[in-house]
Amino acid sequence: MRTKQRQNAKQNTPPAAQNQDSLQHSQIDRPDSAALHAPVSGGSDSAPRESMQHNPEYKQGVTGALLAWKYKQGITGALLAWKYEESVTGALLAWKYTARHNYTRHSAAPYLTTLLLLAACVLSLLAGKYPLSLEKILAGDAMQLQVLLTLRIPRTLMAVLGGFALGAAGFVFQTVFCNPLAAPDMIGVSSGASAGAAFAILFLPASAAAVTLSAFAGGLLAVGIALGLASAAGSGSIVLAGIAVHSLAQTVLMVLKLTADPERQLASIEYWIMGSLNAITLGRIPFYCAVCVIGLIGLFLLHRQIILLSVDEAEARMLGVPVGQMRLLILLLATLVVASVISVTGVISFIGLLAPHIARLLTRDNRLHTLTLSGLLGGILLTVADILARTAAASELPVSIFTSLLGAPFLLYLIMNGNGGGRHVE
Amino acid sequence: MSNNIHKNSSIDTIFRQTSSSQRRTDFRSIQGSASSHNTLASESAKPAEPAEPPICLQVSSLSAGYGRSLILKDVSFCAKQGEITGLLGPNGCGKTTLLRALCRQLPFTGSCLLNGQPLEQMSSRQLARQISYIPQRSGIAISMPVTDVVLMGFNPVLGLLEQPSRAQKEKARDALRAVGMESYAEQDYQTLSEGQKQLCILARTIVEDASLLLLDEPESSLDFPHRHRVMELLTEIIRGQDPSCADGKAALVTLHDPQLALEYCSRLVLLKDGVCTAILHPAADRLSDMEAALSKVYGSVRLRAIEENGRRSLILLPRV
Repeated sequence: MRTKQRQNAKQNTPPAAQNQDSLQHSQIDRPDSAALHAPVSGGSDSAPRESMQHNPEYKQGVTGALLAWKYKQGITGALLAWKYEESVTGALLAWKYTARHNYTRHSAAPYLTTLLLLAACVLSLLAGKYPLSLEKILAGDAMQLQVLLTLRIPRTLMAVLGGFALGAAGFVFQTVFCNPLAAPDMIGVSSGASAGAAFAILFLPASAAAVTLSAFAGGLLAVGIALGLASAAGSGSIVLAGIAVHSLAQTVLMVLKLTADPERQLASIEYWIMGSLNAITLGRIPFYCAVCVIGLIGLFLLHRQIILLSVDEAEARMLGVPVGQMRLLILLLATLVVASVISVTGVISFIGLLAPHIARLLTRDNRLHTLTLSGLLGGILLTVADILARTAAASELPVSIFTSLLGAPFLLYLIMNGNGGGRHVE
Repeated sequence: MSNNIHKNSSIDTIFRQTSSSQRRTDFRSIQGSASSHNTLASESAKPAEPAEPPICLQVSSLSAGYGRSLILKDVSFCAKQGEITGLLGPNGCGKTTLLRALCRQLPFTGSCLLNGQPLEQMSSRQLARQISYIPQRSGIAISMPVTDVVLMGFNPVLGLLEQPSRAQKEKARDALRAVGMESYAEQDYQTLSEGQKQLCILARTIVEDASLLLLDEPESSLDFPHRHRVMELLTEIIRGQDPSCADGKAALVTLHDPQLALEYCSRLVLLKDGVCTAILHPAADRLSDMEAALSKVYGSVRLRAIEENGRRSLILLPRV
C-alpha cells in the first residue's frame, strides 16, 4: 500500500513552492505523532517536516535515512527520515527532534526487540542436542517433526512466555514498591514455590506434574500469607510481611532438605531450584500458560494504576486511587504470573531484575511501551539463555547461569555508556 | 478602585500582581482604617462586602492527632471560594496535621463541611474529586514525562481501565501552557528543578478541577521567583481566571513564610500548639492588631506597611 502511495505521489510531484504553502495546515494533521512531538517554542520551525508528506521521493528517503543514521541520531531518526521521505531536510529534522527529545530517541526499541525475539525463537526451535534443519522439516521428515512438536515448540513457548512474564512482573514489582531492587521474591513467591516443589519431591509420587502443581500452590500460599498479614496490619507493611514469609519459607525448605535423601531427592531439589526448561512437554503447560497470560493481560490493562501506585501514598489516595486494594490486586496478578512460570521452570534468577532496568534505560520513561519492552527483553534473555543451557555443554546446564551471564554485562555496558543517566528509580 | 483592579493583567510580571479582591479590600482599608475597629478572630466583625463569597470549607471545633496524643485542639475556621486561606504557625503547631485530617488520613472529631457536605460521609472517590492535595514535594519517584504527571489529575474521573481521552490530553496541554511549562511536556519529570516540579503539579491541580485545594508548604523548597510564581498561579486558579477551571475554588495553604502569607492570603489562620489563636484578614485588619496576633505566635515581631502606588504591602520584621 505504501509503495502504491509512493507511485501515485511520484506521478504528480508538486513543485517546491507548493510544498511550502501546504506546510501550515498539514501540521495539524498529525497532532499525536509522539516521536515528532516538538515543543512549540519557535512555532514555525516545526512546519517544514510536514512538506515531506507531499514530496515523496523514494531515493531521497533512503539518503535521508542514511544521513540520519550516520550522524548518530539513531534508529528513530533514520526511521523518521525514511517515513517522511525527504533527504537532507528529513535527516536534519530527524536530528533536531531526536536530539531535543532524548526520551523519544529509542522508540524503535520495541520493534527491534520483537525482531530479535523472533530470531531467538527460530534459533531456539532449531538448536539443541538433536539439531533440526528447516529443509528437513519442510520435506516432512517424521523424526524432525516429532522433535519439533513435542520438545522444541513447548520449550520455546515456555521460554518466550516465561521470560516475558518475569520481565513484565519485575517491572510491576519495581514500580509498585518504587524500589529498583524489588523482585517477586520480596513477597515470597519463589521461596514459597521452592518449598512447595521440595515438598512434592519428598512426599508426593514422583511426577513432573505433581512437582509443578505443588510449587504453584506453595508460591501462592506464601504470597497469600504475606498479603494477608500485611492487610491485617495495615498498608505499608507488605515488604516486612513479605520478608518474614520469605524467611519462613526458606526455613521450611531447609528442613525439607535436611530430611531428604542426599543421593536422589536432595539433588533433584537443588536442580529444581536452579531452574531449567528441560523436559517441558505440551501436556504439562496449558494450564500454567493460561494463568500466566490472564495475569499478564490484567497487568497491562492496569498499567495506569501501577504507575499511580508508585506515587507517594497520601498523594495517590487524593488522586482517587484506592491504594490498599489496588496494590493487593496488582501484586496478586503479578504473583500469579510469576508463580505460573517458575512452578514449571524452577527458580530463574535475574530476569525480573534485569529486563525492566534495560527497558527503562532504553525508553527513559515508564509508559506502557516500557512494560512491553521489559517483557520482550525478558523473553529474549530467557530464550537465548535456554539455547545456551542446552548447547554449551554435553549435559543440560541450569538456565539461571546464563540469564545472569548474558544480562549483567549488558546492563553494565548500558550504565557505563551513560545511556540512562540513572534517572529512573535510584 | 476600578483602576486598581484593571491595572494588573500581565501574568508574567511576578512581583506586581495580587488578586484584585485583595486590592479591593486593600483600597478600602486604607481609606477607612481609622474608623474600622475589627475584632480579631471574629468572622462576623469583618466589614460587609457587596457580595460575600460563599463558604467552601467550614471547619468547626476540629480535634485530631496521632494515636493518643492530640495535636489539634478545637480548631474552627472557614475557607471561602475565590480566596486563599493561609495556615500560619511555627513548626509542630499542627499545620500539616490539619491538612492530613482534611484528607481523612487521620481520625478527627468535630465537623468539617465541604460545600455543605460532611467530609466523613463522602466516599474516597468523591473526596478525590472535590479535594486536590499538593504535597510539599511530590512523591513521584520514577521517571515519567511531564504530560503523564499532569494526566494523573484525571484519575478521579476516569474508570479503572479507562485511558485519558484526546480532549483530556488537550486539557493537560492547556494546563501546562497556563503554568508556562508547555515546552517541557515530553521531558522526564525527574530532570526538572524543584520549582518546575511544583509548577507541573499545579498544572495537574488545574486539570483536577477540585473545589478545595490543600497545599502543604508549597514554598518550602522553592527559590524567590518561583515562590511568587506559585502563589500567583494559585490565585489565578482559585479565582477561575484560567479558562480550563470552573469557578468557585478555595485554597487552604500551610506556609512557613509569613511574608508570602501576608501578601497573598485573604485570610490567615494562626496556629500555636494546636490551638487557633487568631484569624487575620491582612487586607482589612489594623496593623497593630495583626502585629499583636503574630507576636503571640512567633515571639515579638514588628509589622510594617509600605505603600506603593496606593497599594499596601506588609513586612514582618523581628524585634530589635
